[in-house]
Amino acid sequence: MSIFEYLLNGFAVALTPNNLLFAFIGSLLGTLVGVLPGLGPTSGMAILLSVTTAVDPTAGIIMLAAIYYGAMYGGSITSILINIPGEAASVVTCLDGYQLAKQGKAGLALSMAAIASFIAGTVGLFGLVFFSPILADFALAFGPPEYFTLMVLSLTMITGLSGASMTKGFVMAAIGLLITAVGQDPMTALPRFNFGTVTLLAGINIVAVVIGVFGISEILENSEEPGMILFQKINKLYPTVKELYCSVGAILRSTVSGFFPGLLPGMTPSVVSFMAYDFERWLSSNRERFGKGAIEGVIAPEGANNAATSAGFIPLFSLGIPTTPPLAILLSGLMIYGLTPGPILFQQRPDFIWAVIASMYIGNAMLLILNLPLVGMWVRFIKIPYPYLAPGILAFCFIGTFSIRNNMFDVWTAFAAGVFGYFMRKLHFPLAPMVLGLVLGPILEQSFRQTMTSSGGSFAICLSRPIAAGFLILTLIVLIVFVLLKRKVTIPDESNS
Amino acid sequence: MRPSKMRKDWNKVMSKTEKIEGIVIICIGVLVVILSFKLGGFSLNEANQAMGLFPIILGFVLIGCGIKLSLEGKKDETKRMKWPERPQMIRVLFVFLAMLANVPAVEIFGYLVGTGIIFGIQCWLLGEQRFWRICICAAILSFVSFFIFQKVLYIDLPDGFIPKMLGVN
Repeated sequence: MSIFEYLLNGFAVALTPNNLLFAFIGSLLGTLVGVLPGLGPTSGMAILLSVTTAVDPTAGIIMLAAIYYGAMYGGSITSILINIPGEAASVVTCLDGYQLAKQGKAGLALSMAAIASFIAGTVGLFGLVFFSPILADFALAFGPPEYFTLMVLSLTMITGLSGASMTKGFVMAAIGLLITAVGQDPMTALPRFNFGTVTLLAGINIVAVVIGVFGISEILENSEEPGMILFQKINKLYPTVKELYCSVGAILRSTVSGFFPGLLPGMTPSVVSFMAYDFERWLSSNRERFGKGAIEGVIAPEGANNAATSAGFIPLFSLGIPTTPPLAILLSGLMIYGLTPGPILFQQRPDFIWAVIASMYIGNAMLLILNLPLVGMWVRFIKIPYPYLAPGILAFCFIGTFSIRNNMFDVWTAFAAGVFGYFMRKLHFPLAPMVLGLVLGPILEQSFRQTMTSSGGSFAICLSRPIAAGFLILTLIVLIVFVLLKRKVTIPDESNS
Repeated sequence: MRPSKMRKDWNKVMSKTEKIEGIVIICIGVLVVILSFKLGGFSLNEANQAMGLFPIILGFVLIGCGIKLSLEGKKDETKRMKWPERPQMIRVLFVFLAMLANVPAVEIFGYLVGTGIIFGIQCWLLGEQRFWRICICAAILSFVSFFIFQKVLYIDLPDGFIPKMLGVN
């Protein structure tokens, strides 16, 4: 079958009433997650992961993916209206979006953000359709050494990009990897680090840790200063044809500047949106308008972060490598269903993978149609006073954690992880490498030990295979570049935003 | 004591903490290495297939990072963490304690009542003073979440010791 036929089949599955409903619910919940300050896509997806496991795998993953890109759309609403980014990728949108809102152009900023997000997200999905199978075919040649070195490269990139200190990033990645070592050894199933307890024999639940580290710690941090919110009024909602025409160039540029970096591990939508904003300002003949209400200043980050979101699905589906923390949650969702993303998934479950891809087109269209007329409704959600919002989110954290395995140990784990995450935020330890470590830990260890076993304990095997050696050389280059870069620039942190 | 003075003292304490964060990480790394050694040998031909090998590498990574961090801490005396004022810290502590109380409350009273009680306490701790409003919101949140998760999504929520004893489900 050709890619086009697979995609058509995918649409047939995605358009069934059940899957359509879950794409719709996911888009709505995602937008809500994006809108609510103090609840990012990672924590939102982790909390809602248990909900998705209650349905069949296709509907569950469709919903989880919809939550992710829905959150990307939703984040811009709060950035523009109240100068508070709903999630990290919308931080840059505040710069010009809020200025436009203060000038009485909140509607224009919101609509252009939604249109740019839609176009960039959809174009990004075309890339996903055409690049994923090619990359998956290429990845069929990968053995344990290639996977091991690829994961080391991913972890290095994410660690390097997720905070001011690379050393702290490595500490967090190591802690994430160590947590996965608790329980049973993946190769021999012998107990390891369980201290003689039966509870720890099943391991520490990844989702409980992520809910704690992202959701609970965020609530604790926001509890310090539950403040007041000032809104800007929304007047004209839809742009004119002339305004649309003038924005086409910026939308296309943001798509390109978001899509290609989004393919790389560590290039989270928040980092990409900063880059796209800078790129747009650099290209502009009238740079002083930026920061004072330039519409390109809204289009560039919003388009780029949605293109990067779509691009991130390519390495996830074709290689099984999550490039951002929310995609790591999506990967753990796939694992809960017993599905291992990678080249084999394209061969074994094409119905599933193409249905999820097709659903993203539908979800993107849904978001465009729903978001603009529903701006008023989302604004009402932001108006929920924090004393009610925080306990509400905590209640969902409780359910989300408890329902994974129906035991209270996971809830205690989440609380402990919440306190740990709170202090790590305070000490500026990035949280993203820890999540990646948690998700990649078992696969990384397995491929490492398989590599060592096949070579009789010699690491030279990684250097004798061209692809693995290539990944190792890239890791080295990336390390050197980051060490040099860190001395000059501060990279925004996705998790500690 | 004036708040500014308290804050100064607090930041002083935290500045010292920053310097020792590297040492704490070294200690964790050493602990991991010791525990990994207890797992047995590191030969891939052994029965346990070197299951301590991966954790021991991570332990050494932590030790290395800890050494680097403690050296960085000594170099840069100006780096200070922004810690909240004491009243804010107390609020965070109380919200956390209320969160911890969630588990026994749910296990004793069941999800429906336990969540309502803890929701109300947290609302009050976060600054809401209107008692009637807290009660209404707590009741709505508990019932709606209970209905969605237990009845629609069939996720088993805790029944609670008292409702079980009374035979209420």
